[in-house]
Amino acid sequence: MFATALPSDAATTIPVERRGQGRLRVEAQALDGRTVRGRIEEEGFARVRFPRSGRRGSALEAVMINTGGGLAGGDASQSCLVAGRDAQLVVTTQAAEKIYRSDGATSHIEVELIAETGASLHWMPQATIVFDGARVERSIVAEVAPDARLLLVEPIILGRTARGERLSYGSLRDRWRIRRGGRLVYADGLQLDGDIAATLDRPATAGGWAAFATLLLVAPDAETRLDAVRGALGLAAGEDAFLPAELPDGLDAGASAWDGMLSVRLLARDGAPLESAIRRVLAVLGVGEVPRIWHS
Amino acid sequence: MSEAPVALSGASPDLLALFVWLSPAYPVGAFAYSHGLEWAVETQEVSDLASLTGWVDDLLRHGGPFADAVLLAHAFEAAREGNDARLRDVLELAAAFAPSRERQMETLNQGEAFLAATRAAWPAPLLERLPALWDGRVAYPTAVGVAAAAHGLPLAATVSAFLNAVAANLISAAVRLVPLGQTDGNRALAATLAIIREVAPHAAEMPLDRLGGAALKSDIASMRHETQYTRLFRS
Repeated sequence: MFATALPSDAATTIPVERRGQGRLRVEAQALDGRTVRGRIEEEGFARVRFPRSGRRGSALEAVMINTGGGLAGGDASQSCLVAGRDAQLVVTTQAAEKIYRSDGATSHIEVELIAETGASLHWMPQATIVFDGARVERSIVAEVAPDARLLLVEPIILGRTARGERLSYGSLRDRWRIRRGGRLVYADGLQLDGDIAATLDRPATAGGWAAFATLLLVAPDAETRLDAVRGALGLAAGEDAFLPAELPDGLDAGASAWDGMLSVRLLARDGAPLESAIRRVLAVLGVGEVPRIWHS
Repeated sequence: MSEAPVALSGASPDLLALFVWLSPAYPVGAFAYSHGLEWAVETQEVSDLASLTGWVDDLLRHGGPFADAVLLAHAFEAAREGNDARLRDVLELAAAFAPSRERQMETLNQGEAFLAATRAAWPAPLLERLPALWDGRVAYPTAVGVAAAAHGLPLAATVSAFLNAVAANLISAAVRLVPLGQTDGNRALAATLAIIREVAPHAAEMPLDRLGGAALKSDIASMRHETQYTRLFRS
């Protein structure tokens, strides 16, 4: 985790001005019981679309598009998603985000999520696929009003597992800071560096599995969903704890709830059992459907 | 004996307070917490000396104990600088940096118990001032870091002693749970020292933005522990 004997940023050969930049800002506003687009800003490779077919109930669905087709070393992506007062915004991505092998430079992804009073913001991008040799640093910061709802689902797949690739070297740093009413309520960090394959093979890390996700719900009623989520995952819940847990093959998972939050950690052999588990959890969380784009 | 007597004071730092604060007898209730290890024993991930040392090794390098050592170092430095704003940020981050309900309880309960015991017997102005600076609960590693700085103890020794206390507590839990013999427990303690020597300096210089690790299975174990049918430990 802390040993780095690999190309560093100092080995960068492509000038910064040639590297890709994308910046997106989406504001959603409540209007007559519906949610409509507010201010939208798109720069560089970042675009957003609001598919009509994706409109469900009173929520606005936004689909983020990276016209660059992925992130190469040194690329930088910034997204700011705002669900204004009483607005309901669901944000996803058009495709899995690919982080390509780096020449030494680190890609940066910054996500800022804001759910104002009475609002609901669901951040559920498709999986991020980290190619062998990629170097990426991601930051997710959120500010949630005390009566608002924020759902984050972030699947990460290490290596193109479908073709048998593993993430053996590179760098992956992920930093989550979630504030509610101005106070930090949840912080998390993933740090993978150096001999990543050896690290992930360890029994207390990933046991050699390559796909994982954290799902976090911050909402006044978040803790009441715990038993249902455990049931959806195949974990024995509450008074039934004496029953053997029946997790599907290729999946390890746990769920916990405290302080107005619900957190789920998923670890899977590859992308398929991971996505299936996410769908089951979302279904019992009242996210009736995953974004339509996920089905394409 | 004709040889000169070994100097018994002066040259080396006085670490006696650390021996007390980080001994299993200090009233923080450490014996009640297994950091999810009880679930790993239940699933046979930890079943003998080799798997125990492997599990503890992983946590010291990639898990909660490593992140705690980073938080300790930052709290220590902020306290030593007298930088209240920085210290407040570290205390806030440490209180929120938990993957599950039991892991948060484990660090906050021990932190509060450590502060209460240390304020009473080792008072220091900074320890009295802490509630004015941060109105939330105080996580265990940051409580240790602040107390060590307030009493002029050296950072490197504090980080190593803290990691040793945490590792020894995990090993003690495993000796009871697996169960293992005392000799195997001592072998695990001895094996752990080499890892602590290697890891502690990295923790002490890790920037706060890189706080974290990769111990997903340990995090999941702490979540699964919440519904474990027979349990001796609170985490």
